Amino acid sequence: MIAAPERSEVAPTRTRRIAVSSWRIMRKHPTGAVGLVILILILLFILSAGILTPHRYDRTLSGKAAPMMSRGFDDELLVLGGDELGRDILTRLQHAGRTSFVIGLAAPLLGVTLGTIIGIVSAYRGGIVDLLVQRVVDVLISLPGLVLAMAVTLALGFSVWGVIVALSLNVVGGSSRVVRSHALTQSQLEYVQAARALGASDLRIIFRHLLPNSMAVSLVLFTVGVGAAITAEAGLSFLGLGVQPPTPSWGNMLTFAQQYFRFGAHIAIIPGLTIAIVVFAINLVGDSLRDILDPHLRGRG
Amino acid sequence: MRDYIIRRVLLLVPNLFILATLTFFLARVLPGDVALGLVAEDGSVINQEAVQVIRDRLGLNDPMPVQYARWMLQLLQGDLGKSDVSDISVVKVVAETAEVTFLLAILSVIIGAVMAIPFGILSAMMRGRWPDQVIRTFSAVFLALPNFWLGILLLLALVTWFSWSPPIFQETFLDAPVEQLQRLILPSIAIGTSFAAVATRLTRSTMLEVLNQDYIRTARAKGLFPNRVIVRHALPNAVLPVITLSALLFAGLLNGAVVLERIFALPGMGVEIVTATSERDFQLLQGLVLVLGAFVMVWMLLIDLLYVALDKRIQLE
Repeated sequence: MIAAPERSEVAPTRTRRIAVSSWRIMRKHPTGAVGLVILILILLFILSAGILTPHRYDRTLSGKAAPMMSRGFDDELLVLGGDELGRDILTRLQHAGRTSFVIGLAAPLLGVTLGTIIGIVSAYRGGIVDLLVQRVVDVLISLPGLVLAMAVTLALGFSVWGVIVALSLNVVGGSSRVVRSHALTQSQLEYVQAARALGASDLRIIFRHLLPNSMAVSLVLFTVGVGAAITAEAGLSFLGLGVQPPTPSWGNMLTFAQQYFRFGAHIAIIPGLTIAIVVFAINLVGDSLRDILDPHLRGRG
Repeated sequence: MRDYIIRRVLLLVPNLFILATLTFFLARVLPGDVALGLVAEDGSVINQEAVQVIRDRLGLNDPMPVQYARWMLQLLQGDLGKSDVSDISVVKVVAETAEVTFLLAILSVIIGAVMAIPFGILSAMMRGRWPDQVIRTFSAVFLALPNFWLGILLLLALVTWFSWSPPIFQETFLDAPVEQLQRLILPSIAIGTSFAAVATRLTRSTMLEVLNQDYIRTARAKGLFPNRVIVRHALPNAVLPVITLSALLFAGLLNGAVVLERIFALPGMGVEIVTATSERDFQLLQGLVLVLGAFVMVWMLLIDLLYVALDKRIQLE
């Protein structure tokens, strides 16, 4: 048994060790560190919704497409101006960020998890299972994701969850293919054969050996998926088939941008630029993560 | 090699079957049907009798398995059916809209490759020096830009500075190639740059890999001109993965096409799919999605075969 005082001695050294090693990783991958800092800043920005600005995201404060740093009807300051309905863009950006981030994280999480399980089982079972599963994957890969997502959001309703499920389907095909090819090489290795020789069950081999060894690949796929999901949500919303107003998302802030940009270009520029910055930061983190976790994947995709 | 081709072509059969099944259910999961929309257009009160008449005519009252069987039988006869809304044959709609969509996708690949391959090579040869840094930064930035947003910005710039707006006309590439290209060039640039961003990175990394190999060292040691080594020996092997990438990303390119057609008011398959979805025109939707999916499958197969034919390093079992 470890006595209580001893534990308190261990704790700081452990935190220190983690701090030192993460510092070292960041020194070695400065671009990833920059990406991480940008992401943290954006998260703080989103989480301060309701604190940073005194406005509501769904109230008209000014005329159509009020320019940046202008004053609204009651002399409120609109730092980033007003949108096509005169709502404060800065406030909307924060609230929309919540929606976009939830979708951006949940959709690839769901999709990559499903894809990983399908990929591993398909590779491990082989034979007829693999053949059939891969045919379905073939079809999923060859359909334009937006088309698939359009039908699914319409079927599930335009809720955040509907969009999440719809966008996760886009990820399943591709990620299961990648994980499958990784798992195929893994299941040929001696340690899997040794486990099987020792009488380990299929489930045990899959969950204790193949799944943990695919984690690096899945994590990289997930990171790439986050940026893709945020962009895809924007595309879906742009077509009017994503998260519906009054719930704002970065994508549906752009829905009417095209009709109204003659009144003020900032309506079109600001939400798009935000998406671009976030995806850029995620890509930086993803690239570094890929270098750290899996050198074999370097430079792909 | 022959066995491989036969195997891959045979696999198309189950793939197309699954695709056809999926498109059928993709349409059926949509809430409501075409009858409600057609009747609601006529009057504000929905006439239940009229709804039933339309459903009977289109066979939407039949049990699901019957509808499915009818769809499959129809396909086996090579018939995509008629649009539920307009009664025009689906094949005709596809023929009219496919040109824009596929030209857009192909043009994007060309624009992307033309940008990506030279920049990727330059980046690899100048590894670590400033041109490399600049190219890598730009590709990272363009990778992050949503292509439809880039499309909106391009349009915005042209509208404000040149008061230009996308021309609306209905002519085919063969009738008016120049006008068609003019109309497609901007959306293609928007899609092409994001493709170029991925392809530049890929070209750079494969080029670096190739440049480290023995046969390049041998070629250099023989005293060949450095440019000749790059063009004749390294380039062919470095470009191959870009070809595969274009196949893998083709479905993604079509995604971009769907949205950009809308922005630039182009009469393509994407716009047609969105309309068919919102009108619940099941036959048209199924037909369009099937054609798109089948095209991507065949395209991917062709690229795979091309790859095997070109890359002597691939040994087939």
